[in-house]
Amino acid sequence: MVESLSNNRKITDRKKRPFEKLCYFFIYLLSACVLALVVYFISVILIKGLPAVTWSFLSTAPNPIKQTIGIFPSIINTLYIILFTLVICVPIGVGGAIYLNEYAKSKRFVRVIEFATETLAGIPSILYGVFGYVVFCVLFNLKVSLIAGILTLTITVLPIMIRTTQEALKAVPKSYREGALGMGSTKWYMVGTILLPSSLKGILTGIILSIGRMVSESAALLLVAGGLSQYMPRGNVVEQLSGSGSSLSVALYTYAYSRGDNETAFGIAAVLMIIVILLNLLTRFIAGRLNRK
Amino acid sequence: MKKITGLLIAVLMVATLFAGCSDGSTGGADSNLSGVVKTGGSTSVEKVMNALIYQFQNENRDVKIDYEPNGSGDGIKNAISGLYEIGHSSRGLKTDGSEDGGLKATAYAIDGIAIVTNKGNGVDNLTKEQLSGIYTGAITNWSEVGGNDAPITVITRESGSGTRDAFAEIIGLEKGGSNIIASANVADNTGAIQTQVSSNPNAIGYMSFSDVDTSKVNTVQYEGAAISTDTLKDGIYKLKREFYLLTKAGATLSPVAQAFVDFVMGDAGQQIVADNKLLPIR
Amino acid sequence: MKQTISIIGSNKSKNAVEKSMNIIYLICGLAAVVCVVCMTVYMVISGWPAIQKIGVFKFLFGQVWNPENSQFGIAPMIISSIIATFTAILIALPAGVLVAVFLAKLTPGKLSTALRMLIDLLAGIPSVVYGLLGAILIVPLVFELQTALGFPTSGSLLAAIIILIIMILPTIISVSETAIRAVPKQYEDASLALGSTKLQSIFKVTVPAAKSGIVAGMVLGVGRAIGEAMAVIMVAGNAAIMPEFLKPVRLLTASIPIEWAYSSGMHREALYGIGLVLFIFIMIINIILNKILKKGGDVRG
Repeated sequence: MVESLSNNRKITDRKKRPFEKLCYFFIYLLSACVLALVVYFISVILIKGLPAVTWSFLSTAPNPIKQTIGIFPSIINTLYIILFTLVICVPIGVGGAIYLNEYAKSKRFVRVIEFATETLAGIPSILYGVFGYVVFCVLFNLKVSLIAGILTLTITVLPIMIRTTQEALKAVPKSYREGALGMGSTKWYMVGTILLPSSLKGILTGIILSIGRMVSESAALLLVAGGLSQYMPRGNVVEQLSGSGSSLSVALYTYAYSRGDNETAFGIAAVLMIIVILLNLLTRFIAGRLNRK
Repeated sequence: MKKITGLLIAVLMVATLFAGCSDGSTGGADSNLSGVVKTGGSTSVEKVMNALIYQFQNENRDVKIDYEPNGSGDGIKNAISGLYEIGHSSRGLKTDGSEDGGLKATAYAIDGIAIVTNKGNGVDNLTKEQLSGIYTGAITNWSEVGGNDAPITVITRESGSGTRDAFAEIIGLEKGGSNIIASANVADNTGAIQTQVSSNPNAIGYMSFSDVDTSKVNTVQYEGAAISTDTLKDGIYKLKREFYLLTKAGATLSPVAQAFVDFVMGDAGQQIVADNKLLPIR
Repeated sequence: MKQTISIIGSNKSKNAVEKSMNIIYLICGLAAVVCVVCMTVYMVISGWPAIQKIGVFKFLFGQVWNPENSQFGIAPMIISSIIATFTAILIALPAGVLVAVFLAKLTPGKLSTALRMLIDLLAGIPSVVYGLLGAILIVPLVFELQTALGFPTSGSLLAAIIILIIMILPTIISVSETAIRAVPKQYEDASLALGSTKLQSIFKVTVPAAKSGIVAGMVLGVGRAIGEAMAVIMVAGNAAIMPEFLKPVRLLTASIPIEWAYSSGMHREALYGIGLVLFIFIMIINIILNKILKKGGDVRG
């Protein structure tokens, strides 16, 4: 006893029982396996996919005569989908969160809305596909089209926007609000000039999460927006939106499953991976920059 | 600083809107035709239809033909309801009344149904009894039909597929293939069958001949006849069905749709049909 | 409402604007509720007729799915989905938490951040990529197993479970790691000071404290596993039979995209019926999971 106190050992340096050693071993082994698997998968995607990603791959459409493959139509469709879904969904989501956090009077009402939001978040994408088809394609008579896909994705992504904006608003100190109101500002003015700028980081994070979700979406879009896009997009945006089209994920599924064209599929996977990397970096960048306030 | 990044992002997003305007089209012959025609239906016709549409759109730059490969059933249903101006089907209309909707079916190609097996599979001929035995589960091992000792993996199209219906009818299965063995793997389009067969050494499947890529799969002789455009034409190879364009009977099509139908039935269109390993209808 | 005295503009116009903004925000807030209500209504409208015509018991418990014969029993698919999800969670949850512990507590900062970034990357990839990887890497391995045991080589329940596990692992690791990191160091220090070993502190104090975060990760994982359709279609063989590990299976979610294209009439209605069953299933699971989440509570409180 006196010995151990006079040495420089910490109290945590006890002799580990053999069971402990076993546990450590098991944890290290498991983690090593899992992490090795993770690294392996990422490298398979990059190794098999990057060779296929050439400039013509990215910028042309498939040419059945020349037998070349290009994913430009799918890239444009994905961009359109992201852009227009955000245009609709961000205002509604942010507005909803503002209502929940700033304006709602009854706690019960808030809980109802929050329950609805969480329910929406938990619904699998194939059900959004069925719902989107029944409502947007048939009922609204939009037929199988990008616009139907955009509307369906709006509902899919809405819970993400509401939730992240809510968190961001909650993080704004009460003093900001009270200060503005105390100086005579009206509520909406205060919201617009004080709250929104302060919660910008959270809102941007929500937007990036939503983009991530949209890029991954495949089942719903397959049902609602159609299969593989073969032709260069026409200049008219409205026309493009009212026709069917595939996003990158849907294109990947088609090339891999229906065409058995694994090279192209891996090429698309590599492109998607690069997009995810960029989105992740963007999130870190935003978190870093806006934290320095 | 935030305002500038926000502005940059907005500009970037608007720029993508105009990225789609890179078509560079400057009109071609018959460029007085313009408009969008909505079509859709069978997945089996996808390859030849893509080639036909590509060529037609090349000659008529202001035309866009939408083709959604959602299946023959969808093609028929939506042609009846008017959602598609032209529906595509890889089987004839049902005669039991469920598909009465005043449709006119114009056959434009004859397609062979190829029996495909893995590249490594040695079996090169199957009779009608053997084939129906395999598909109903009566025959379960390749050794029973002259191959290796390995269990057969049966792959079929999904219920409702035009190809499945045609296949079932010709080899004598019950209507729609309802007695196909329950543990048969289901692939939901013709290309998927090829994908699965090419990666599974013991698989057998059936698919549209025009989609067969012989570098990926073997075609098996049916009743002693190998599948080719010649044996299809001479009627020696018996597994086949027609591809149809479905339009509303008695109604006039839009100029673009009519032009497309004429194109498909004309010399140029039929040539494309032949180039795709299908039998032209004329 | 308190009277707002302001330096800009008159009271009347300000109140009008204030009220209208209030209404606008209210409408936005209701958007989510409206969507959920509409969804429920339409799911029921489109799905119920079929179930009624087929008969609730025949539909839910019928063992044969053979649309050509007008047999619409979805029991095999329900059971396959339950087994697949349950097994995947059973393996992925403990594994994920252990790896999260490893990353949060047992690795030095820089390495841990780098590994974390890799895992986040895998978590963000669309599920179809997992299907692709599964078809290329996992299915051939299962083929070997099937051949060795005399089964026909085909897509299988085993392959589906494996890719489900790989799909939800990154999510569980990621969320659990954040939760574990968020537990204040004092908890662990206190436990250490009282004489327990590092491992004991981690598993008896830190992890339970992070419980609500870990359960949240589990909820996300379950959601992803239950709802997955496309990736599973690519590896599971899609035969509507009772599940066995080395035989092909069809999960409930997969039925819809596979038979959607060619279905018409009663068949299509039956697919809507599947959608309704799935919907009710998910609602029930979400409610149960959320109750667990709320109960787990926040020990930091």
